[in-house]
Amino acid sequence: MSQTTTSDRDGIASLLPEFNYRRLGLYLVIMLFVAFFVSPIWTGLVTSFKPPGQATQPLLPPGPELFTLDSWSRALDNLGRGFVNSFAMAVPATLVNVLLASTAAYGLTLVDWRRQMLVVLLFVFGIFIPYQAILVPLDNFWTNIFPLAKGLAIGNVTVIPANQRWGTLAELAITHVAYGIPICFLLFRSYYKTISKELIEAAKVDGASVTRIYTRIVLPLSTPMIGVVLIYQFTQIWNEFLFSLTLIGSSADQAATITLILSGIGADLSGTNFPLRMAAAFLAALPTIIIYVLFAEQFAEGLSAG
Amino acid sequence: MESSQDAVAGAGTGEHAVEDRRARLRRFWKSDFVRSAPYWGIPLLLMGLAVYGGIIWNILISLTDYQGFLERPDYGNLDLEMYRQALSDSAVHLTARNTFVLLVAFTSVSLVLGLFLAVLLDRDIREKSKVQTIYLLPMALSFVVTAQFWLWMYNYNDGLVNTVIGLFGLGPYNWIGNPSLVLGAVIFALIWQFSGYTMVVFLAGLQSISNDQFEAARVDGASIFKTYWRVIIPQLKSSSVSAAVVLMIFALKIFTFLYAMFGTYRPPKGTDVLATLMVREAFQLQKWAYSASIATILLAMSLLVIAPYLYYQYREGAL
Amino acid sequence: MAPDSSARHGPITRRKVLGTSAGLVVAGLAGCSSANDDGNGNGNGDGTPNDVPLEVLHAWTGGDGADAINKLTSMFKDEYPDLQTDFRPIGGTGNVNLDSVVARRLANRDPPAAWQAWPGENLTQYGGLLRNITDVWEDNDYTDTMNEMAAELCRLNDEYRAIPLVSHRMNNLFYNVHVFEEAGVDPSSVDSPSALIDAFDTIQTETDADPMTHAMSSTWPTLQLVFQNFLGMDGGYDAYTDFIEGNGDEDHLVEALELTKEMLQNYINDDASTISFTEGNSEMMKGNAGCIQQGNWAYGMYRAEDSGVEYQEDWDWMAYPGTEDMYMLHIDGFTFARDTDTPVKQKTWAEFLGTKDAQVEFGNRKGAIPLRTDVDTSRLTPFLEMTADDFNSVDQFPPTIAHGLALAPEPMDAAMSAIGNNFMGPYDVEAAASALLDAAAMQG
Repeated sequence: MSQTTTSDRDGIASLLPEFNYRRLGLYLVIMLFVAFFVSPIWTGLVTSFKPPGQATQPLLPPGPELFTLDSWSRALDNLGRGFVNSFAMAVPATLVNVLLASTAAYGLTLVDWRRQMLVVLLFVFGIFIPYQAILVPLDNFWTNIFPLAKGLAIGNVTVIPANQRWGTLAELAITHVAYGIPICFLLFRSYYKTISKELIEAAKVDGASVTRIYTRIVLPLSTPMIGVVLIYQFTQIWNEFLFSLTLIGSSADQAATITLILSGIGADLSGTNFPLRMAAAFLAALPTIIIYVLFAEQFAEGLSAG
Repeated sequence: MESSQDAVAGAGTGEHAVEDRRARLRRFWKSDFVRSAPYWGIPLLLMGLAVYGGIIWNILISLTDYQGFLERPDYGNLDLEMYRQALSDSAVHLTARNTFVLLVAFTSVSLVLGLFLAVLLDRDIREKSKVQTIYLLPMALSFVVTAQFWLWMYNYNDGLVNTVIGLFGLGPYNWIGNPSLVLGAVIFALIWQFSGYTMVVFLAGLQSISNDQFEAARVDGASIFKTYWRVIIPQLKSSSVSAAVVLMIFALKIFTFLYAMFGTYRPPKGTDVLATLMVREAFQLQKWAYSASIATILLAMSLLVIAPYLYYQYREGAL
Repeated sequence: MAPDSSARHGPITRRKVLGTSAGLVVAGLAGCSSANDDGNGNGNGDGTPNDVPLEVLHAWTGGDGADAINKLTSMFKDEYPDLQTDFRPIGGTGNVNLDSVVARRLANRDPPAAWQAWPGENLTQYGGLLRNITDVWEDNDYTDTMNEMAAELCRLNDEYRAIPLVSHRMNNLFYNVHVFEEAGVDPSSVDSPSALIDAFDTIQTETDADPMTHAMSSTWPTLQLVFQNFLGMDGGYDAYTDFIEGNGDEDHLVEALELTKEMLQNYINDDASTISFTEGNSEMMKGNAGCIQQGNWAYGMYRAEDSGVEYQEDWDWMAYPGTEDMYMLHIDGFTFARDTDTPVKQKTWAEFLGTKDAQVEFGNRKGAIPLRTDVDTSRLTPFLEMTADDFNSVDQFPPTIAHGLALAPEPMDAAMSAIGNNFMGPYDVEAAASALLDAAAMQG
């Protein structure tokens, strides 16, 4: 997207007198900001290879005599369960989110009916609420009204067996789906608005049903946006913390997600172990960093559309 | 038209009406509204229950005096007692003020810095996409992760911030311990995380402005600064508004950052905001009704921002 | 009952035999009771006694706490090998995370069988949800063998609802012997908070060390320090008793806050507001600070093998100046939920926690002392032996505020706020005093 501007802005460049020192100044400022954005990550990285207690000189990598991977292996031990839990929760939640948001955007964008703007507004508003505003009911719901982790029985028939770990993760996944729909909806809607109405109209004239138009025309055309939303929403769910804290509560819980475990790591009575914290932070961020590096374009698109 | 034909065919007025209704019903069932209902209806139901059901339930709880875990909320006896308490609670005043400062400072600085970066990169430079990727990288990280990085950055003895200012003979400062510095330190970390985002939004805006306008300004002999100030920036109004709203939404989620950084429900004095106060009252002290009332106040504050924005977007047909 | 309980502390082989048979008896009882209790279908139709493990939550996740609880649980398993258990550590300082998990489980009507809790006012939040374990106390004579004050704090609504495990002393001043010597300060001459400030002044002029190290990244160490000064002043104990009953003397409190303010403004480390007490403690061990005021969990760090410090050679202890005749009481104990699937196992766990062995072994590792008054204190490490002897000889036990004994959760949080909002620098004595008095008044 934004990377595609290359020479089309020569207009401004030509406004600048092509003095070399100006150009140099420009690059210096750019590099200064590169340093600004990278330095917290860099200092974290070099620190993660130092033994705790000897993590001084924050910018320099450890010398060979200090270099250690201890913090990384300890972090991996601590976070292992969190990786499994977060993946098990985030992957299905993201997929369901994409499906529901795309159908909703289709029904409210490419199918016309009166007063649909009201429903659109309902969806869009959902993007902006602070989650604190639903936190107490959310906790109450999963604790008192519908404790899925304790299993589900209709009469005497057990439909879902009680399972603290997976049940809690299912609660969390459903929560993420419900609150993730609005933003994914908006992403799909902004994309569907660019699909030509004529195409849909033509299919309609040919007698194609609402369902047929969706499966045969809209869905195949949606592929790029599905990619964007998958990436965006997976990152969001992977990174989320407040719902995990509310529904799971403790990093010692079997169902603890990766952000929950990370938030408490390396801070026990023996003081704050920064190398361990940094290593754990990198491990926890790894999936999102990989996605980001591979799909920077889609990520930026998701952001600017959102 | 179909129905009028049916009406002619009908024998009596009673039958006429029935036929008419049936036809309407049939047409209704075939309408796009009904046919598309499963597509938007299921997500609407789920999302609606979660968001609007949640909000209404939260308000209901805030009208009870529900607390602890011994009893269920008593919905038979509703009053505004919790709001009266909240509005006279000095902790609420203090956190509301901090929330406000955070919102305004963080949003405005991020916008200005993002605009500056966008203008900086909005030209033909080498490795531009790599630079952009780096500027935006913090945005891909979770609050929980960036909080760890900044906790280390602000470390008193070995943190990078004190090391760097030490080169200029300044400090060291207790960035996150000193009540008068900590809010600024948190805001600075947030700006680091989000100014890449505002840059992307502004870049997209800048690219939609045609080169002719630069040309025209150049012909008029305007300086580069004046060109941006008079011609370009006014056209970025809608980008700025959306970016500002999104930033405020992120700022309202600051709870996660503070909790991850300080590892407790109670961030240090100076950074306690409504979001942390609410969660603390709820999950540390089990004062459900009271925290629900604080949550409603928080929601009302965000509505003040969101409602005009959505109305504006709706009127512009941008939704 | 008494012979039985002393038999448990006999030689190891005999104890093991007895323990095993006790385990069998318990297992039999559990079998009966689960048949009775679970008559309305909890799915254990096979009637085996062990299919619902005893679930115990605690907050000892790292360092010496983890060592101590591991020792405790393995002792329990050795003694009751057939009894299934599920011990779950929940991290976080000040039991905050543990408490919120327990609260959630209680709200869910799915409480753990037992959880680590501070007794005293902290128990009031659980209201009628706690099991009455008076029978455990009486059957094992714990009513006579536990410290009287601790026993009283385990009672709620006239019945025993908790078992104390160990106690940390709160009114300590740990000091670096070399720093004090270099400054020429004689610890025995420091007998009041104002004398301590004079000593600080000497240390500051005579040495390079900070007179005191203090940790302000959390609120509780400062809350703790304020009340050390409060107790250390003349008439401190009575004023303290009045304060926690909600009738605090404002002048006394203001003076205590002034003393604390003077210490914090002039005599502590520069980075106080960013460090935790463990970081401060290691500065004291290195000789970069003269002393530290902490609960005696600080001792855990001196005792570690690689600490590099020796008791009385490098570090030493004195009661916080002015509180020599007191033992400021902290208690770690367990409390028990009503209506669980494991009532007999709960009782077994409760009995076990009160035994001398459990208290001594756990305490030795955690750096805390047993609450049984009839243990042979020579079984403790030298420092703890001294503490325990003190414990058994003083008769003033002011209960700690910062750790739940004196104030219920809500007033305790208000006291934390009082310090957090007014006394973390800049120091507003008046505002902090009135907020603290308001907090204590919430108690009524």
